[in-house]
Amino acid sequence: MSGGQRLALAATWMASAMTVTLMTLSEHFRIVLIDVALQVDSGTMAVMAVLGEIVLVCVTVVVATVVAQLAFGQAVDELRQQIALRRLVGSKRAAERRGLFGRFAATGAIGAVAGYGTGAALSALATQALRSALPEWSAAPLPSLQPGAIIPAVGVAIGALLAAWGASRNVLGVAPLEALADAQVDSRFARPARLTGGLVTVSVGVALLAAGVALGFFTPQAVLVGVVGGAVTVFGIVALATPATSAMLKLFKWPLQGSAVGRSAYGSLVRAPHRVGGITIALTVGIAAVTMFAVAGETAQSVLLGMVDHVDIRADQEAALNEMTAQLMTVVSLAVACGSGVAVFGFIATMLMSVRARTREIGLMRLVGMRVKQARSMIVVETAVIAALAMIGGLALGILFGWLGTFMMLGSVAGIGVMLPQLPWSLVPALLVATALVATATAVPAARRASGIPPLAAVNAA
Amino acid sequence: MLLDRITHSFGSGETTVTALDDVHLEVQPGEFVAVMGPSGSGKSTLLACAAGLLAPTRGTVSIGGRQLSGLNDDELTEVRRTQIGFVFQSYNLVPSLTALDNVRLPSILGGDAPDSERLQQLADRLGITDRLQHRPSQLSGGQQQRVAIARALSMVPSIVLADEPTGALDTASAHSVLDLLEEESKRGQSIVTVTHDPLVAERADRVLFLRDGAVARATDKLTAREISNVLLELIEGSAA
Repeated sequence: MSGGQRLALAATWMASAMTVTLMTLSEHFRIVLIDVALQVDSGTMAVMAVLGEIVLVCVTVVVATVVAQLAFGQAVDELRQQIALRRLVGSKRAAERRGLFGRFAATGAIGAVAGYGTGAALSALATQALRSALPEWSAAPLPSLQPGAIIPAVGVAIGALLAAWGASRNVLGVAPLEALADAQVDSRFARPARLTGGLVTVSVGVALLAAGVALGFFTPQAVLVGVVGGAVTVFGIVALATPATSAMLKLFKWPLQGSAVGRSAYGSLVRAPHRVGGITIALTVGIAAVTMFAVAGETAQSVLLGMVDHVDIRADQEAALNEMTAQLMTVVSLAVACGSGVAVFGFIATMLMSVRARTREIGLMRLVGMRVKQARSMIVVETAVIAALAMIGGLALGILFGWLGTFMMLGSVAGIGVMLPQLPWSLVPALLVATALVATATAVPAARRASGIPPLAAVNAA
Repeated sequence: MLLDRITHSFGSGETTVTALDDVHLEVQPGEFVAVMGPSGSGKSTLLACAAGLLAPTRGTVSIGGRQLSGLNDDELTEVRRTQIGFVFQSYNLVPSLTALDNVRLPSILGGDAPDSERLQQLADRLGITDRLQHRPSQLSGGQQQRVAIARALSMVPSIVLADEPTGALDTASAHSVLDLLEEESKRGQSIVTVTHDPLVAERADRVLFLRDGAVARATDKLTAREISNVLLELIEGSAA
């Protein structure tokens, strides 16, 4: 099994386990809050809670799909030589694609099923723990695994299937000649640009988002349209990741010109736009997920608390509402952990794989005079630049989606209407610290791997 | 450059493979030496040892009067950067960098101020002046190899190590690349090239023939025909 396939397996497994657990816990919260604590027969509340769950699960599924797509893409790159050789000796293009799709699809399905099992176990443990920790929970009828938890596992499987289908399409571009030709450095990353497809997808996504906003004036169910629109937009952005990161990279050209290491780092980032785009997008969706939930939570909280001042509300209901907001934030942060966890994992894994794929290039630099320390610094700088790109993109996307989502869910509630997005003050510093930690956790092993590449690697491959 | 009776073996015990067996080679400034031999005769190992990329099991390698054994990785890197120029069959240029930046790479990596005037002269001599702003992918094979030679010469190294420098070139480009190497050697540049091609070896001042890791014969300048005959004898000798 190639490294990319292993990553896809791990990502779908992780995402499935996390979303199954998340689904069970959020169901628990919903039952306890709406039926037990609030003790009101509030239809709107119940609908909102279900919608919220759908959003939470969808975001994690989308993130998992993006990572799976990236991982399968990497797997195709790794298998390219093999595929070219089989094509050379007579295998048909369609047969190669079918074979690869079958393997990828199986990988995703196994990950989703295994993740469901793991998630069921985690759910049982968490339910047990919460029952003993929170008194009001012990009274409620809570199963150790909510029946609805199968839905996100199925979602992850479907997402992986779509990712496998998309990635297997890259096989069509493998020429039999590649098995013979002296493999040029990094040529394996050359893939046809998917500019038109990406632009069309983003346009459709944006149109759906606009429809969601329009519907948001009338019903909270608008958020369902919004979720679809958001997902479509994200996949469009993934397709556009290469030109988008290339354009954004130019921002870093000038500050990196000062040193040999900076120039080398910039050079290798610019030269492999597909690789860089893929790695950047993994971290971007992670940061976007965190930002989106933080912005949505903060905006919803400020709107709801503002409403309490205007509406005649019983004291016990107000207390319940406050508690609900607090517990809501717990569920939200759980979802944040799920979404970003899978993305961060994908980022670290692809970054490490990319260093391995660049063995020859790094060996060449070492051969003509790059010191071990410089090779290490080059990888660190590259990681930092990618992290910075992801931070910019992720913040922008997250704020937009968080704001739109909140409006779609709450905009139709009487007395709320259009609101401004609220950023928790701690979000940006917290994201900066977290991204820096993730980048360090990535850069250290990646740099160690790079510094272990002997200059002889350039000669032997030649 | 001096390879003082070097032996290089891989593995241990019964599986030991001796890739180089007591090979002695001294190259004077301005000398152009070709190393020939059938596949598996140890040519590539010799080149790797000469560059300090492999440490010989026995014997020593010196470049510019400095012994390579005992140097740490940073010191070896500095030797490669300043004392050795590399030319490969597949050019091995960095695709993201322009031709000019490829040529300047060793000095950029060392943080040296580039000697623009010298680089300009070098580019003129190699006929790549109007190609310096191009990327390797925009250049023909012959042009890429000229850029690679410019990079190899950019630091005024003690020795240029070439591995089948014309292996990927058409006849005309190969011819002009060989003319350039010969000319540089006349200007005082030491060059060692490993090759299968008698037309390359014919340009050298001396030819070293390897067989099964050992020096089978060492000759002064020979014609391509004479070189071919020696090679044939060597191959027939091993078959017998």
